[in-house]
Amino acid sequence: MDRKYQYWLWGIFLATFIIRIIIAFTVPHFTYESYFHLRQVEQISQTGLPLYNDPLSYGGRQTIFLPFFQYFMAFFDFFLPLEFAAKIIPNLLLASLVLLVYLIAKKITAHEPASLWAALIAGFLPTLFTPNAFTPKVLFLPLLFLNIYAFLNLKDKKYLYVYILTFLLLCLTSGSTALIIIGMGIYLLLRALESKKIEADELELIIFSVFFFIWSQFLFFKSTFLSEGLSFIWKNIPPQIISQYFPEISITQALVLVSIIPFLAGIYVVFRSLFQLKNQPAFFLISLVVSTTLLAWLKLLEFQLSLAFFGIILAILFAIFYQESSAYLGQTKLSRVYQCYPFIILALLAISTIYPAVATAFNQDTPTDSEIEAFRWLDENTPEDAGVLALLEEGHLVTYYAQRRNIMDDRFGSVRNIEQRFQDLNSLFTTSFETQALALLEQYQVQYLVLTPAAQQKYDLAKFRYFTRGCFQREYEQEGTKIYMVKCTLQELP
Amino acid sequence: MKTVSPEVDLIGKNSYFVHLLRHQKKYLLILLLGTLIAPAFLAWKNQQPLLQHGESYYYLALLQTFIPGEALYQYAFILPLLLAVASFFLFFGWAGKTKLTPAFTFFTVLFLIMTPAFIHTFTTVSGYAALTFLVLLGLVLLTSSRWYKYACFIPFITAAFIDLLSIIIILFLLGTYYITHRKDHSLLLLLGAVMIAMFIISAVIWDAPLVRGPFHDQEARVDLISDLGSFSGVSFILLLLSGLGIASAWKKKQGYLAYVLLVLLILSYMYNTQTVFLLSLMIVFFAASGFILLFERAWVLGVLKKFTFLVVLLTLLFSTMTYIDRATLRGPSLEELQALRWIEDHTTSDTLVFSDPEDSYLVRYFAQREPFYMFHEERSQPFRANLTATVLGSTYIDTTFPILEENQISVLYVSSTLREKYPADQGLLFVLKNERFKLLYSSAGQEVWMFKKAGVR
Repeated sequence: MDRKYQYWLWGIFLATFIIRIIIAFTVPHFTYESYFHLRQVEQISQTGLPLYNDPLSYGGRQTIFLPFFQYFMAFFDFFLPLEFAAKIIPNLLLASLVLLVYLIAKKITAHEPASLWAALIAGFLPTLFTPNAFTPKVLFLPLLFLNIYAFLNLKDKKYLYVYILTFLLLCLTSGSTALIIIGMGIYLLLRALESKKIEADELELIIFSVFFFIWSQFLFFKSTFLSEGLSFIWKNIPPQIISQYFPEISITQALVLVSIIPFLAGIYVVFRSLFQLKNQPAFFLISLVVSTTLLAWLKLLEFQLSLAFFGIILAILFAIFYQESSAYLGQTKLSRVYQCYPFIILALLAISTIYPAVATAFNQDTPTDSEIEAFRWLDENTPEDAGVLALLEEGHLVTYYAQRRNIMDDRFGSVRNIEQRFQDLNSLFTTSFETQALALLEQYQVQYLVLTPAAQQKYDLAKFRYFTRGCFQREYEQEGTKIYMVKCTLQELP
Repeated sequence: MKTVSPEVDLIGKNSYFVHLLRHQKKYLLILLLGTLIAPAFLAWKNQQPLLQHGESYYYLALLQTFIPGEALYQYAFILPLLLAVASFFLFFGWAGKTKLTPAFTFFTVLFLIMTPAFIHTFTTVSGYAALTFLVLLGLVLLTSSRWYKYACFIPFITAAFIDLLSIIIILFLLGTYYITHRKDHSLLLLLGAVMIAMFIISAVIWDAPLVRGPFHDQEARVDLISDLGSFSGVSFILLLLSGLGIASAWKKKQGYLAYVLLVLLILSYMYNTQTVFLLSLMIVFFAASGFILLFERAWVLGVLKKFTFLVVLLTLLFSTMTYIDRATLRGPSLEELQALRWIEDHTTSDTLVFSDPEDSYLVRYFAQREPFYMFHEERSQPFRANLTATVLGSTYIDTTFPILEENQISVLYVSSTLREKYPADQGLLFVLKNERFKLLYSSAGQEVWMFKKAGVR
């Protein structure tokens, strides 16, 4: 590798990492869902085991998840403060995508400048620029692309072991590993349609991957499959909010989130590769694009993850586009355009990728200081067995900071009557009837109500509509966040 | 890197496997007995009836007219086990006369024994368990060279009484035998003619159903895959292996016949998921082909072959164990039995009982009362099917009460299963709060309610 390109590559990596870290520490807290994983990491650090039987979530329930990410982070928890490690490591992992994308792009194009462009796009993908997210996705994506890189290099035996190891870890990190399995299926299909011979080692690895994936998922989710049937795909998400997780694909939104330049270049490359080029690694990547698109279209894969995956693949495919287009320009008489070409690309990327990425990072959905303070207050000032009403999004704040029972959070799997529960949670914020509210609070054994500015904005209320001094007592109020204690219970007349 | 290591030939030359093949009958018989006795043992441990699922009690209620008394109930659980063992030996008897390889026979039987559809069918008194036995007996007799080959008429004609689909399958098998063996033409033609006559008589005169059943709430998307909560079907991994087998059958001589049968069984399954056992047999057949295809060939990555082999077998075993573990959940439980016996003791013999259609077979057999509607009557009693759905789903007494009154339903049996299936604040469970219902019996989640006539206090 040319030293000049090496410097550029490390420069892009460091720039990505540093910008991510600066934003991560500028925004004081984590995204709402991160608190579930933080709590699990703490639990593993303390006991060595994840909290599968959670006494606080949904008032006490079983929640099964693939634990590798939590174990991986628990390792760092031994020698770094967790909140610090939870900002450094995920951003380091996502910044490492720059290196992986460079390697894959170089494998496909053997063109270093083109690969650098791909790395730059991957580093600043708007959909991945959430430096305060502490979720398994931050480990899943780098592992996945390392796995893909190993698959493309199977001729070298050491990559066989890399493939097997990363695949095993992927199976223990996220169920979305199905993405690669389906991609492999489409890859085989495309090759069969093209009447091309399938390499024996590739085929064997694919067979192994399929069976191992199924086995590993059954080991963890046996009871979920049995109780939820096919609906396990949709994670038991209440129908009222399923569109947030599996939305109708808006092309405009997708264009912004994966960036318009790689999107258009990707379409061009997919078209060329399918009908004209005979580039085998590109074929594999295109199969992954097809599988992602199919799964997202059929609403079998979460929209955010499919966008992230799609965005990275498009970044890699952009390298092919750049290689071909610069070669083409070099052959024409437009020598000035050829010389300016990298600058034009940079300008376009700065507008369509880097700027939206930074804007996305500063618009992350995180709780405010005052909200966090309120939940900490609950921990110090309420009985340990108290139940707390908070927004669905704030459910993990109740269990992490307040260490109290919540009514609901965004881990919907295996919860019975989820639709009803969601409806009841909404009713507790919207109803005007005190008796209805008291009945529901009693049903869910809730003694404290938290009304954060986020909740006030969401439901357009300054206080609970059923609030009366006789039955509710305000215990805490600071910077718009209020906490009420329930004083009444509903009883039948004799 | 691309060298094929000979030591990884798991199926052809492995010494353990050679031993297994040589003694396959013994090992598979032990596995068969273990698999089929385990659910009965668990039921016995839970003090449940040894026979599970409504289908058993549908047939027991029919048999009760010929064999009255408790003996039938006490010893009926042996019947499916006997049919399984007899079918096992008959299959080996028949396979010995065909070109099936020992490896194929071994994996077919192994996968079949581990399949929930098989365990379900051969732990209940089931029409298709009888069909399997009768068809195998017929085939063994038909393929023999002795005088008693003509006795094959008896099992085939007996099997024709199960349902019309059974006759179609027998006709298909006879046709396949005709095409592939090219002998006994006159016997086969005569047998075919008799079966066609049976089909016409059954359909026109006896009004026999195309498929007898269902005896449970059908859900075609789930009933085929046991890992998704179905009480029958096949495991997901077997389905995957069968995909390989289906692809490979294309290249085989007369492989199209297997495709024709597969299509026929898929259509039957879509019509009525009660046929899932027959479809499962086909899936097992293809899965065994796929498995052999996968592991008989030499792999470039030998270690991976061993590992994949282990993972496949472990997944199958895991799936079977999970199924056996929940096999007794099909019911009836001891508590259900007590509630049903209570109905028998405390209601008059002409009482019409409303219940979840899945419980109706238990009502008929244990409570000895006529249920309002049973699942298998869906096509003969569509009106009652609709009324049942309305009563279970309607929250309005103006809808529910006239139905109960017009049909003279006075007792409602609400099992714990029904309570789990329907929301408490909607439909029948909500309407039960009305004063016209009186709770007669309640124990361990089982309830018996009386519906009072208007004006009665």
